[in-house]
Amino acid sequence: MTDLSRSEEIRFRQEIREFVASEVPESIRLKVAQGRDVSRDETIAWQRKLVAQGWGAVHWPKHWGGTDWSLQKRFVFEEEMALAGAPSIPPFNTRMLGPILLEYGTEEQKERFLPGALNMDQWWCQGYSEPSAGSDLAALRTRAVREGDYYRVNGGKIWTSYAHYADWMFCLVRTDPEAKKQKGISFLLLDMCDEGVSVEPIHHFYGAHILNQVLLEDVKVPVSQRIGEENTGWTTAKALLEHERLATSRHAEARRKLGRLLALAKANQDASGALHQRADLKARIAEVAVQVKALEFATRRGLEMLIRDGRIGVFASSLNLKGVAINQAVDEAIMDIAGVDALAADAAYDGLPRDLLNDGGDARYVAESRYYLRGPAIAAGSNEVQRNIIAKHVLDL
Amino acid sequence: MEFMLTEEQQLIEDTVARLLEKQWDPRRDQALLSADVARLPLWHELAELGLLGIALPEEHGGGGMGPVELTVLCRRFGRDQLRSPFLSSLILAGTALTCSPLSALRDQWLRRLATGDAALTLATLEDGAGYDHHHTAIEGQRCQQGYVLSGRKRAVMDATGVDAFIVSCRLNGELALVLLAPETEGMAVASYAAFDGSSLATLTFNDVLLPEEAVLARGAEARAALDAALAHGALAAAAETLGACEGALERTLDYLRLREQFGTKLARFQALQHRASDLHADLEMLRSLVSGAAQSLTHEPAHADAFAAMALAVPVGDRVCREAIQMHGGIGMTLELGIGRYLLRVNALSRLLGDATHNGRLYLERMEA
Ligand SMILES: Cc1cc2nc3c(=O)[nH]c(=O)nc-3n(C[C@H](O)[C@H](O)[C@H](O)COP(=O)(O)OP(=O)(O)OC[C@H]3O[C@@H](n4cnc5c(N)ncnc54)[C@H](O)[C@@H]3O)c2cc1C
Repeated sequence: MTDLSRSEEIRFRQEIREFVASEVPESIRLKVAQGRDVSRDETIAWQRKLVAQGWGAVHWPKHWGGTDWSLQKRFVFEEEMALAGAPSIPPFNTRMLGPILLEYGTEEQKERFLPGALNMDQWWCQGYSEPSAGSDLAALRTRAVREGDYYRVNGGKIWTSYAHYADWMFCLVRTDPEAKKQKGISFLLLDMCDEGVSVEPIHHFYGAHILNQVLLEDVKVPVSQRIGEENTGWTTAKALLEHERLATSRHAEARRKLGRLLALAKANQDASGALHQRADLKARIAEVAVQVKALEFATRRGLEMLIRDGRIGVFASSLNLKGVAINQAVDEAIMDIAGVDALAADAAYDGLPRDLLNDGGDARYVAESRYYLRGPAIAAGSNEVQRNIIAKHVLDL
Repeated sequence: MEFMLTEEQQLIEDTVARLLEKQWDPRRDQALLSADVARLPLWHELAELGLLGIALPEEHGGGGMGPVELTVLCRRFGRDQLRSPFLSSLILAGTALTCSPLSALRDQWLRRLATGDAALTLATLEDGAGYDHHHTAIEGQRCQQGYVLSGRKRAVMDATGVDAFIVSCRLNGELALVLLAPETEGMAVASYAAFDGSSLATLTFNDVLLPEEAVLARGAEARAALDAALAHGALAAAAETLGACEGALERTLDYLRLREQFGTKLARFQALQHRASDLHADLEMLRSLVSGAAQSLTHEPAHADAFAAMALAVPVGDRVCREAIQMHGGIGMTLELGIGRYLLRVNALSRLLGDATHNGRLYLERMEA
């Protein structure tokens, strides 16, 4: 696992760019550039291309279809993929479930679930949050009662991203209601086709359908689908690879969007001329560009910590907090530069000739992308939760 | 100056609030585009109560009131999320008409507007001109019957079902406002939905014949009418943004008082308390500026203060409405709860009447003039 030399890195980046250029269909490339959601079928098709190339889960062991790449090489891979505009695959299969199975699953469970997760024969979703257990996740109440070889599960999950696409859900359930919060929780794998599972859509305020509510009514889950020991689910769920915590900075995404911002500022004009010449907008773009640069170096610093110490620790909270904020700042600048062009609803873009939307620099869907990015500030450790972690564990307040 | 509402103004506010409470459910009605709202019974009731034409001249059936009463209405519309042609028809087009030189054409449309019998809209923005509603590259070519127009207008509000457009163009080298009906030969209207549920259109003129008698105002008179319309538009948008922020913050505070995590109400977390307090203080500034600007406009129909109000409303509106989503957590992202709709609306307003930089610049220019 020696690190890449400079020339190897350049060659590797080139290889990735060429792969993306030849393998990502134009229609998907456009969606990614516009910050739009890629469909279920498109996502699966892309993942299978990656698998065929040996790149389906680069951080998994080779035995299970991963690679033996160094941390640095994996980082370069992910960075270059995002910069090149490859669609991002939801993290549930290979980034969340995979590492958990690898660390806590039995051989049998690995055999049964890893190949399908890799190839996306099963689409997985994450059932952690509940209506009354959000930031305070350990307050979850979905109850699993042991009945012989089965658990009988009752309750429900909410904000479950892509549950309407999912074949399976990994979830946290309460197996011991007497134990203190984190202690009585178990980690179960649940077949979404099972009797008693129903999925209700929840629409984003701007219309997109990503979120869902999952209702669980007398669902029978075999005990063999529990990962880890009973009542140790909390620890299991925390087995997120340290390496994954780098990804929450979204630095490559921010850099790609900065490119879009610059292109729009060049293409659009107002009565005084091209927007990129306007002094106030230059200052605005510069401010955003500086932040994106800082985020890029911060992420590389995180990588260095990871290589040196094997962990990035609480630095991850700063990366997450600033990563979300800086991505939002780029989106907001894009939307402001797009100005009147950004007004149309998504459906309007699909229904009217582009020409009639006066859309000089392709500002389509910028509003959707901006509003979508409100989500990460709330999900998986909200901004406020990150600030609490920094105050307590970094600043010792 | 008078920052408190008079009894009569308070009565207007209460009347609208009651009417909206009874007849407007943003959740139920969210599929409606703003242009469709003019076909609801609610719209006729607003007309019958004399609220639609509240600021139009009395001699043409209006209420003869002014910017203060307009802000009372728009603020309430913002709070209750009513998207309607009020801004496009009664404020922008209505003010342009009111401030145009007297003519039979003007008077006839004013009367129809005041009774709610017709809707008008302003078509001013053009490609490549940013938010500059004054800029027009459409130059009328002289012909025997008048002029011939070719060109395009963008982001025309509520064009569906409108009875006529007030279009800006240049005639004999000077700015002019002219009235054109949608069925005019050579004119095409392509409507589309905006992300906030309002209805917009692109207007294309292909050798459209403009008769001399369709000209509302020219030169300095056209400029004055357009200035007044845009100042009233900026004030109305600022007032609507203020109302949206008030609605968003109020609902957020209610939620913080209700929601529990970690065994306590969210309202107990000082981090959230301080942010809510900041938003409140921001809103006090905006409230003062909107109210003061409304009074400035009462004395001078194109007063610079209106642009100051909008220049402040844009960043405050965005911030308050974003924070409202954030402080709700996951449920803040949902269509069902509808907290996000405030953000959509204030972001749409700042794209229709101009962003903070644009309005700030207008304020500076006019303040110095
Ligand atoms: C787009 C999106 C996708 C999601 N996908 C998934 C998924 O796939 N699977 C899943 O299980 N969950 C998912 N979630 C749920 C997400 O993890 C929760 O929304 C998150 O944990 C916050 O919980 P909540 O929504 O209940 O908000 P609450 O916890 O009620 O928080 C409301 C507000 O209060 C703040 N707050 C809470 N506690 C404190 C405190 N101690 N101090 C200061 N402020 C505080 C929060 O930061 C927030 O601003 C998703 C959420 C979103 C928005």
